[in-house]
Formats: sequence, structure tokens, C-alpha cells
Amino acid sequence: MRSVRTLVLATLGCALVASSASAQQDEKLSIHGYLTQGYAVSDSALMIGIPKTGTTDYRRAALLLRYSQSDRDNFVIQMAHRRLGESPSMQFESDVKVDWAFYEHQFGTQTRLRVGKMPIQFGIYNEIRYVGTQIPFYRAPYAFYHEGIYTSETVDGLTVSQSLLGETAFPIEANAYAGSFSFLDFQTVPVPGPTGPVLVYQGQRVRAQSALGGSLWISTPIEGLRIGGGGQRYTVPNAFFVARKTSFDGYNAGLDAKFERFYLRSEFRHVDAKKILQYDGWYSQGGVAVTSKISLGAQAERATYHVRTTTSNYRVPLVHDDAVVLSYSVSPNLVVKTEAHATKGFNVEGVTNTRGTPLEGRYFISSLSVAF
Amino acid sequence: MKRLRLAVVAAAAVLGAAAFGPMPAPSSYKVIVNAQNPVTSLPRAKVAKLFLRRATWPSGAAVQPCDLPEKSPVRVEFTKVVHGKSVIAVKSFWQQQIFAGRDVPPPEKTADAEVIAFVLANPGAIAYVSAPTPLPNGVRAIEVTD
Repeated sequence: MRSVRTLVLATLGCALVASSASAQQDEKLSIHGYLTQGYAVSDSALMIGIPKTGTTDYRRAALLLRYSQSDRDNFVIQMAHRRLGESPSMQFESDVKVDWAFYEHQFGTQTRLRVGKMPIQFGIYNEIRYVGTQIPFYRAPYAFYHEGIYTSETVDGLTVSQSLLGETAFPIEANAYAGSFSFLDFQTVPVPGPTGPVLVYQGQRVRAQSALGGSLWISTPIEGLRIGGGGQRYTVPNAFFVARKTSFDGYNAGLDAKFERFYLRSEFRHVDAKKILQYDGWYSQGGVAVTSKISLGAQAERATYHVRTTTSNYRVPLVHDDAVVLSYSVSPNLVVKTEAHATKGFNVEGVTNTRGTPLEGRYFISSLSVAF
Repeated sequence: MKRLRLAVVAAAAVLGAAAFGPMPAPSSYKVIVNAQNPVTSLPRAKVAKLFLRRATWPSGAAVQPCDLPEKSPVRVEFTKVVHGKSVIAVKSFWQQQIFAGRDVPPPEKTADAEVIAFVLANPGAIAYVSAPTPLPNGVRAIEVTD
């Protein structure tokens, strides 16, 4: 009943926003927002909150307020709401949360410093990963960005961005961040039962500390084509998969080609937790605008993690997802999508034996995205 | 005979057009700045960067661009010629800037008179209006070169 009520409210919100589709903006304060409402159904195990019975409790919305104190000083706050169907990770998520809250100062035109809780400039999509009108599928590719668990869109600390060689054929955008962030850690773990240990799928919030990272994107003389990469390091004091304080080191690389009629994007990331656990994930996606309003896209994503301990040495195929999407863009502010995914792996939210046979399944998401 | 003469003239016109190519259509817009701005001419690529706030004036001063509404034919042509893109593509760029928390798009003014008033009031302004629009003292057009 609650989900039906929420769906009705969300749909009314969509209609209202789509009909007005204009942001509030005066000289100092601007207010923008977006909403993506989805219906998702799976034919197999629970993945990313999607049950076999289908769910409309699948959405993301945010309201972004930007106050410009001067040409160089801005305050930004983003309030957000997310539902991921029946995902156990939702027990850790409040209905409305402060997503971002940061102060930004620009030094000249090439340098900007942010302090507070702000999005990490990671990969192609991280900063806009939930803006349905900006991304080709319902979500940014899971193998690279994750959602719900083992991911943080933001960092609490500071970031510095620097534009370089702006007047040349190869302008560069460089970013660095430092601080801490939290993420959700979910695993199948043994807990004491009446007749001995039983396996449960359990979660906890983990704080990653001493986080340092950066990225570099180089544009090319071909308008719309850029390449980039970055690196990250952080320390996790305790998690299910690493019981003691462990440092994580990662790097990533990507290609981003976006032209008027088609796009092609691919990114790869590697994360290494002191050789105990190594994660490799990549995706490639491409699409074409069949008409000015209709576009087709396809995506392949893969991720595996490799566990190496004194007693174990095995590789787990986590994500193996092939997908197609059909989009209808009523306007840049209103997009409808339908997508189908075929999966094979252990990216399921429940007790799993990752040494067994990977689970196969399909899921479908239809969504309506509005932005103003 | 009259028909034959007409046919010959029409054929000559077609052949002439084919030989020399179409005459370039005059721009339906002109790019304007505040009269205090010493700039008189800018390359097209630089104008595009100024409108996307990816560059500053040669003096280092911040730029304050201003747009006409999305469906304005003047904006459609300006965007196509200067940015080499559709208005939708430029709107999409600004949406990305907004939701990455980086910037907000230039203000949209509903008519040429409002655009001119904006340029008059802001020394760092750059905008465009329809070509025949008369400009008051304090606002002047600049040349856009290839």
C-alpha cells in the first residue's frame, strides 16, 4: 500500500515537473531537481532490489540548491531520495538524505576548491550517476560504479579541480580529492544458530578513511572524444571480507565518445586489497539516435573478484550482464526508457555459495526520468 | 516561345547555382557585447567557449552569457553555427553541469529587448539578438570569424 501511494505521488510529481520543466533561478539562488521512477521485474534471484513479483518502489529523486554568494563562491546542497525495491541495503537508507553539502571557491577560472560532502569526480558517470535524463540506462554500469553496496558517490573532505591547456587541442581536466566516506558492506556470513552456525546475508555500514584519489581527462581535437583515468587509495578498518584494517588501492581508465547521433563508452577499474581480494570490472556501451527522439543502446559489463587467503584461492564471477535499451526522449528534460538485461553471476542479494554455479537470470526495467 | 525563354532562364539559373554553389545566407543573428568591452572580433570557437563559460575575456574578466528561449529561431541558428550543435545538445551539456554541481546555464531572456538590457547592465556580458535589431548606445556588435 505504501509503495502504491509513493508511486502515485511520484507519478504526480513526474507529471508536474514535466509540465513545468523549468528551474527556479535568480541571480544568486538556483533550484534544480530530477526524478527517475522505474518499474523493475526479475525472473530469477533478487538482484539490485528487483524481485520476481516486480516492483514500482524503484526510484531516485533529488533537489539541488545552488547559492552563488559571488562569481567565485558557491554553496551547494542536494537532498535526495532513493528506493531500490526489495534490496536489503534499503534498511540503511533514510527516505530523505543530505546527499551533498559543500562550499566551492574558484581561484581564477581554472581552479576550484570544494570543502564538505561532495561528489567524487570518478569515471564518466559518478557525478551524474542517478540523473536518468543524462545516462543511457536506468543506472550507471554496475560493474564499474555499483549501486547500494560497495560504493560511495561522495567524499567528506575536500576536492580540487584544475583545468589545463584550455586553449590547446588537448585540454585537460584534473581532479584530486582527500577525506573519508562510508559504504555498505554486505556478505553471506555465518552467525550462531540454535544447532550451530547458520549462513545469513548481512550488512553493515563501513567507514573508509584516509581516502585519496584523483583523475585526469584529456579531450582531443575530435569534438566529443576524450580519454581519462585515475587512481584511488583508502583504508577500511573492518569489513566482512577483510577482518582487520586493510588498505585498498585502485586505478581506472576510460574512453568517452559522444557525438550528436551516437555514443561509445568504455571503462575499466581494478581494486586491490592487499592481495587478499582483487576486483576487476569493466563495461562497454554504445548507442545510436535512430531519430531525434528515439535511440537504441547496448551494453556489456563484467566483473570478477579474486580471493587469496592462506586457506582459499578462488575467483568469483560477480557481474556478467548484457543489456539493450530503447529510449524515447520527449525533450532533454523528459525521457522514457525500457531495458532488458541478461545476467550470469553471483551479484544477488541473498545467501549464496560463490564456489558453486553462477546464477543465471534476466531482469527488465521501464523508467520515466524528468529533470528541471 | 515565351515558355521556351522561361525554361532557358530557369535552366541557366539551375546550372549557375550548381556551378557556383548556393549563396551564403546572411546570419539571422549578431553577437553583442557591452560597449565597455574592448573586444571587436572573436573566432567562432572562442565565442562558443564563452557561451559555455569555458573561457574568460582576454582581460581575464568573467564572462556573463545570455540566451534566447530554446525554441527561438535566432537561438537555433546561433547554436548551430557557433556551437556546431543542436540546442538540445547544448541543453544536455548544461543539464550535466547542473547535476554535477558545477555550474548553471546562462539566463534565458524572452526577447531581444531583454537581452540588450542584460548586456547594458553587465560589462562582462555576451549575447546574440536577431540581426535587424537596432542597438542602443552602450551595446555593440562584434565580428565572429571562422
